[in-house]
Parts: sequence; structure tokens; C-alpha cells
Amino acid sequence: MITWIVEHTLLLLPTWFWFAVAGTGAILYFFSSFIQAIPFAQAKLAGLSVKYIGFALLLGGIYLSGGAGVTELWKSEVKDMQDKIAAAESKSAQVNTVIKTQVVEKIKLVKDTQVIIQDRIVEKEKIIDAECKVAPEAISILNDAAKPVRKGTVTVGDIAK
Amino acid sequence: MKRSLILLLPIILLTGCLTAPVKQVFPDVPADLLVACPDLKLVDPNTTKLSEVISVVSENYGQYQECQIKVDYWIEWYKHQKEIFNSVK
Repeated sequence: MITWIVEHTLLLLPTWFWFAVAGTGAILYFFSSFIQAIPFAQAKLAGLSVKYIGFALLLGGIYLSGGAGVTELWKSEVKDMQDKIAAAESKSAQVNTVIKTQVVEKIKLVKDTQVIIQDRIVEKEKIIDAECKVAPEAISILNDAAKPVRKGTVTVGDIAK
Repeated sequence: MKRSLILLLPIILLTGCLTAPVKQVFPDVPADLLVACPDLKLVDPNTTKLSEVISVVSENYGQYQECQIKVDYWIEWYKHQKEIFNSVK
């Protein structure tokens, strides 16, 4: 809550404002001695009050001008980082587009080649089957080799949670 | 009571330092690469035709090539994205 108040009120003021506060404090502090020197009964007390107020303003102004300077610095760092992230996101999107396009193209090429291969098998079917009869044992061995060792999807269990 | 409040004040003030206003997110992979490779096709056990066997085997070759492309591009995608991600400092 306090942070929010600081961020949304004090830090929104420009840096020069705090320099002005510190300057005002310094002037008040300087002139308080003159006020105290005035030969009136209340002048001493008034001068002392002005001195304290001036001192408080000087300290507060210096402290908050430093804070405002640091805030400006951080704002510029944040802006710089946001720009870098935006540039990286743009690059990353470009990489994704290139990869997506290339994957689609290459898979299409594989599929097209498969169509040609299947057509060639159909075309040469009679020649291929003419002198060869495949034994069921051979098919069984081939199918066993093709069967997945682990059925289903790969899981890492609870580790990923 | 007063003392604990004084101790609490810097903690409240410092909480602002814990929140970072900038967040970098690792990108999502293209959807085409998220499709799992299917199982290999099996030959009809009742067939004796070599042409049918060749047909299934060549389809499986094609399937392997598709998966090879996906894995190759997964590696390529990760390599590039990691490089881009790490370049932001």
C-alpha cells in the first residue's frame, strides 16, 4: 500500500520538483538566521521554526530527488529491456514461421514421394508377385519388429507437475 | 507495538523491489511439431503377396522420414529459440 502510494504520487513528480524543494529548504534555512536576528519577541521562535522546516525540506528534497533519479534510471532500464524482449519475440516468431513452412514443405515432399512409390508398386505388382510367395513366418517377424516396444505416449509422471 | 511497526515499515517499503515489471516468456513451438509420431503399420498376416509387404514397408519408411523431419526441426527450433532467449540480458 505504501509502495503504491509512493509509486503513484511521489514518484510521478518530475525530478526538478525535488531539487526545487531542496533549494527552498536551503533558502529557508539560510534566511532563518536573519529572521531570528529581527528584534521582535516572536522572531526567535519563528526563525527557529523556519530553520527546522527549511532543514526538513532540504533533507527531504535531497532524499526524494535521489529517489526520483534512481526511478528514472530504472524506468529507462525497464524500457530498454522491454524493447529487447519485443525484438526477441519478433525474431522468435520469424524462426517459428520459417520452421513451420519448411516442415510443411518437407513433409509434403515425403508424402508426394510415397504416392509415387505406391503407384510404382501397383504398376509392378504382377512382376513382384510373379515369382515370390512370402512365408507367413516372414510377415510375423516383420510385424514383430514393427510393433512398438512401449505402447502409448511418453510420460514423465509427477516430475513435470 | 510501536517498535514492531517501525520494523514492519522497511519490509512494506521493500516489497516493491520484489516485483519485476518485465517478464520474458519462452515461445511456443509450432503446432506441426507437437503431433506425436504414429505407430508403424503392420502387414496383413494372411497375405502372401510381396507387393503388399513392400507397400507397407515403404509406407513405414515414409512415416520414419516424416518423424525424422519433425525431430530435426525440434532440435533446430530449440537451438534457435534458446539462442534468442538467452540473447536478452
